[in-house]
Amino acid sequence: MKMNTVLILGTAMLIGSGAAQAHTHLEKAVPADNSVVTSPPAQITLHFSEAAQLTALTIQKDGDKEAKTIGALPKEPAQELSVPVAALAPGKYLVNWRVVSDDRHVMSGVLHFTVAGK
Amino acid sequence: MLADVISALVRALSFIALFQAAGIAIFIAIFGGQLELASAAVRRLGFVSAVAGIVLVSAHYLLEAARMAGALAGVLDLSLQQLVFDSPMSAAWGLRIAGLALIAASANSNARPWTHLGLVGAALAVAGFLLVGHTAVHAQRPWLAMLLSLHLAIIAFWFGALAPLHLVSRQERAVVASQVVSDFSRIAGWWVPGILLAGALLTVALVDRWAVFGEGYGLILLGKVAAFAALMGLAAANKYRYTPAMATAAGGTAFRRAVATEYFLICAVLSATAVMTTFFSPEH
Repeated sequence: MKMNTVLILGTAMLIGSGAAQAHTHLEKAVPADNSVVTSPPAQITLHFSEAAQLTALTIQKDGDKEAKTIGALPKEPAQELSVPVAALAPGKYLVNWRVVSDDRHVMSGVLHFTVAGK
Repeated sequence: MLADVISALVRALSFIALFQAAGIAIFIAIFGGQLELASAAVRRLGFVSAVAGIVLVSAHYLLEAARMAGALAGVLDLSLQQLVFDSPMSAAWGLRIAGLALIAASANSNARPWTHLGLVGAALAVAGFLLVGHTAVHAQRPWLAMLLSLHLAIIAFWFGALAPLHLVSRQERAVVASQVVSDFSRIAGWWVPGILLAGALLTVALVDRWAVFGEGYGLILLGKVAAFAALMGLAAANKYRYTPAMATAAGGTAFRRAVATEYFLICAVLSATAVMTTFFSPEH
């Protein structure tokens, strides 16, 4: 009887069924991962399978001790998220990103790209 | 990465404290009336677990902003904390804190109204898990919520009883200890297999490709199943070998050692669950 009380109270939290929300994942990035670009990108663009909220975006040049925060992040969730980036000198770069998907899962990833020298 | 690791560690500890507290509330509701000498110690453990749970659950909640930022300093980022507050995590936090607070309050007394309060607290603390995670956003949410409720309530009952049983074995008269342990084993024998059944059905619902079992999420899941099998072996040894011999000093020691082993094995499973749900998902 008492175990049933616990179970009944627990299941009392059910409030209908919600629509399924698929997990978002990165579909495309500009610059693309492991790409070599001939001119510095004006922005970093991330395209996800579902809308996501960008919560962190940093860039680190090969040889630098610390990563730098890239610009002001978009305030609203979207499938495509673009953030302007200051002029990048030639070299290898590592971009770290973090997003929160619709189902509130924190996801992260990295991008590598190279800005070719003149 | 450090923020993620610390978050997972705090999450693991919060799981252990929460299920310990909820389980003791259930233990007291079912077996409290049989206890003579160990009652105060069990209630004290329930209180301490509930308070520890409140601290750890709150710490994990605050750390979510750090995970979003990818750095511990994110805890101080008000815009990220607002994001967390606007998510189901805040409601889940509220339920867990309310439940743990009720459990802490109920440790005051063995009287029936207080044990009922503890039961409500246990239910709320467990119900917090229904508001977050993959089951909360699934199309079959009602069914998955029922399965998850069953899965977690039985885990609380089983795990939460181990430390009290250890205390009972040490402090109660042999005849009382034997009866309590025997009664627990009888109830557990019916309910504990439900953990695997509910877990299997949840897996069928959430995992839609076999490749998952070669990835992080699936490997940890298989590890949990293996640990459950080992726990069943220990539980059987407890029931058929150590419990009948509890009246002797040597038998009592062997029982307590087996219970302690079960306890730490379940702690490992809860920790693996924290890692699994922090770093992995069934979809990638």
